[in-house]
Amino acid sequence: MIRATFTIARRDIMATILSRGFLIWLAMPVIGLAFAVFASIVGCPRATATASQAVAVIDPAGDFTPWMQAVAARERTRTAYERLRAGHKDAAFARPAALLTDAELDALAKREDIGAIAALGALSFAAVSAEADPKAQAHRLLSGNTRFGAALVVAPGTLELFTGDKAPAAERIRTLAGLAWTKRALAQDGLAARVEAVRAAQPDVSVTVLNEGAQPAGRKGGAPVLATGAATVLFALISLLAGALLSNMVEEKSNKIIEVLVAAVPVPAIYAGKLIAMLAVSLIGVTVWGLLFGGGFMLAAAQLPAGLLPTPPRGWPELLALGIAYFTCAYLIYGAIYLGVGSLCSTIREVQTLSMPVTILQMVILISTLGALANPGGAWYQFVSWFPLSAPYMMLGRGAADTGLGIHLASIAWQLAFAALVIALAARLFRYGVLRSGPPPSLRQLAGLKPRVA
Amino acid sequence: MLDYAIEAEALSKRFGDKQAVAGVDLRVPTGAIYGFLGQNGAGKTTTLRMLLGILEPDGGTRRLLGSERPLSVAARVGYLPEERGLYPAMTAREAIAYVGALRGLKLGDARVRADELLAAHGLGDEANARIRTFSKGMAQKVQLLATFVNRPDLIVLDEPFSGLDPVNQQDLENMIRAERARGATILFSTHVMAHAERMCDGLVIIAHGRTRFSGSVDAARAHLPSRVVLVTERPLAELHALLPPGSTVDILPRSATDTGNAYRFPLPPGGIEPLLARLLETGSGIRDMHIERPTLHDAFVTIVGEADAHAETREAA
Repeated sequence: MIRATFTIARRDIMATILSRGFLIWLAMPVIGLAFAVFASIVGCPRATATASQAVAVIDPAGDFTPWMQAVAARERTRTAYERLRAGHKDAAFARPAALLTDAELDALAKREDIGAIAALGALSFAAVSAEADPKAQAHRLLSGNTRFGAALVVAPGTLELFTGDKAPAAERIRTLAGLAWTKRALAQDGLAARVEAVRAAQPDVSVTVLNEGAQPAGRKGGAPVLATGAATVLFALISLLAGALLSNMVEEKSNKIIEVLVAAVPVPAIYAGKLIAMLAVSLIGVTVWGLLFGGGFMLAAAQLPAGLLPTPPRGWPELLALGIAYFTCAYLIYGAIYLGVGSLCSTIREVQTLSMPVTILQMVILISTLGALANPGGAWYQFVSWFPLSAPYMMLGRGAADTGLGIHLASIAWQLAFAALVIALAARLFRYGVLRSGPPPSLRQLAGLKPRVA
Repeated sequence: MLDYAIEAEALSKRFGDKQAVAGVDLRVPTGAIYGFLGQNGAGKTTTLRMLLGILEPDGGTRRLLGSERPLSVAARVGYLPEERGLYPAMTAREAIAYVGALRGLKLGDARVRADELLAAHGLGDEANARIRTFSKGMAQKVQLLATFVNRPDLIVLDEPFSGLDPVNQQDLENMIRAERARGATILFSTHVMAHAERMCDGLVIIAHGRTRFSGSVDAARAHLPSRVVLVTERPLAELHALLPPGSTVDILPRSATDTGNAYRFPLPPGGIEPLLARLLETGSGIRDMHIERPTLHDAFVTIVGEADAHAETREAA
């Protein structure tokens, strides 16, 4: 039986990977990504024209630009510090970013990690000699092919911001301009040192969470993003395979070869052979996509400053291992269901008709999973964690946020047991579906019981 | 050695409201060629599927090569289903080897065997051609060869002659005889009586899901009496008097070139000679006289007709 299983698996693998359709299937995510990039380029002209990060500062008095530059640099440092603070427990990151003084920010800006993050997407402020009519000058600077995305006109008692098609975030410039104005005013009035001293003395507000059970233990900043991402990636992979699994049996049935198989090999062996084949094909696909997208992601991530990306609590290798385990569980559960249901289809049209409710079911599962991940704790969270159709996605999401390993081992055992049950039931449906003799099996028959005698 | 390659008793199978097989008894002696005859919908394919373990019977027993679990002896069985099918993208060689591997051969051995079979049956040059490039007849021949790939002890063929031209039908007959000569037992279903008449050592005829006849071709023919065809120069008004009481005499229509009087009647139990002597005495002017043995076709129609009548009576009751 084992040899027959692998004979069937081998044929299915070879037939699949040597077909033209496989290349298209393999290229589907790449085509999808390319299409998304293309659509974003064509469909969003505002976004395509790379927003100029340069802001012209037209200041007849001539001293505002350095204030703008200093304030912008410090605010970038403050933002970078806040990002890194989420993943650091050491004393250097003890104070909240909002309480940091200018001197502290200037010191932090010299740190390599903070400096690297602060350099991303920085605005530049360039002083432009003021003409007689600054507003007309701003219009002229922003019209046509210009290097400026915005122009700030500084006058006694007023600040006016002009933005063009390539405007960077106007709200950000507005805030920075306001801050720069206040700083300059405080300095001119000799109050700057006093304000800094007050800020330096401001205590941090301590927060005590009374209901600790509402938060999963060891939850860290960034983990929800990872959890959502991990669950979504697993969902996308299983969804990509669903269509192939649903249509897998159509070839056998339309070729009428299924009877030769059933006469030579036990049905569970055929079923297992097909599942193994599809798993192997899926792993080939996942490997190719992993090399393409994962490699690209790692290349891109390597360019980013350390600490910018969230890190799983137990590290990437363990999350990856959990990902493989939950992928296998999800594949076996969904694969068995889809193969069983797909065996009832005789044509691609029937497969397409059946795909609709399957897609809806998958969407409901994904929405439930993401909703539960966003609201940890409570009965719904537990239900989605243990309901077998959502458990692989949910538990992988939790794996990206949780630190406990025991619950994952229990969950994997439960999911594998459920997969075995589904495979046993689906094999019976498969036997009926592939031979199409008589009415569909009753629930009693699916459960392995003899039909009631009338 | 087993006496019977196939033994089945009171096999039954119901699909919903339809009783597809209601009690089939079947015994195929080892080394024999047996025909499995029946009308469309009589339950032939369902019975074959039950014998092979593709379907589980609702009632009755079956033994295939001595085993009550047919799949346990699958490596010794070859099966050609009624609905033919091969993977179109596979080559002829791989298609045959694949079936061989499913039937327990090592893939390498199965490929060697596939090459031998293809070469022996005129398809050696097509071994590496894909099935989708084949004509229907060629594809069917490849599937037939796949049925024989594992040198099975038992070969079950469901309507093997349908779709084949006369040359390929003859080729298939030869292949079946060669397999029998090798020692295999063959059971095939067919609608074409000529094949069964020419090839079979024994027959099983089913109707309405039940076995109606089981025995040799001669025994099936014996189900009907032989008939005498007599052509005389003058009309024989006294023919009824010369025959045993209750004999029916058909007066045959005269053909354009035949001016005689033609009659057909059952062969009298005492044989033809006493009747011939009386006819000579009466001076009837015998122009032709011969005995017609009933064909298998006649026997089949009669047996199935009796089953139909029986079923109607049962339904009416």
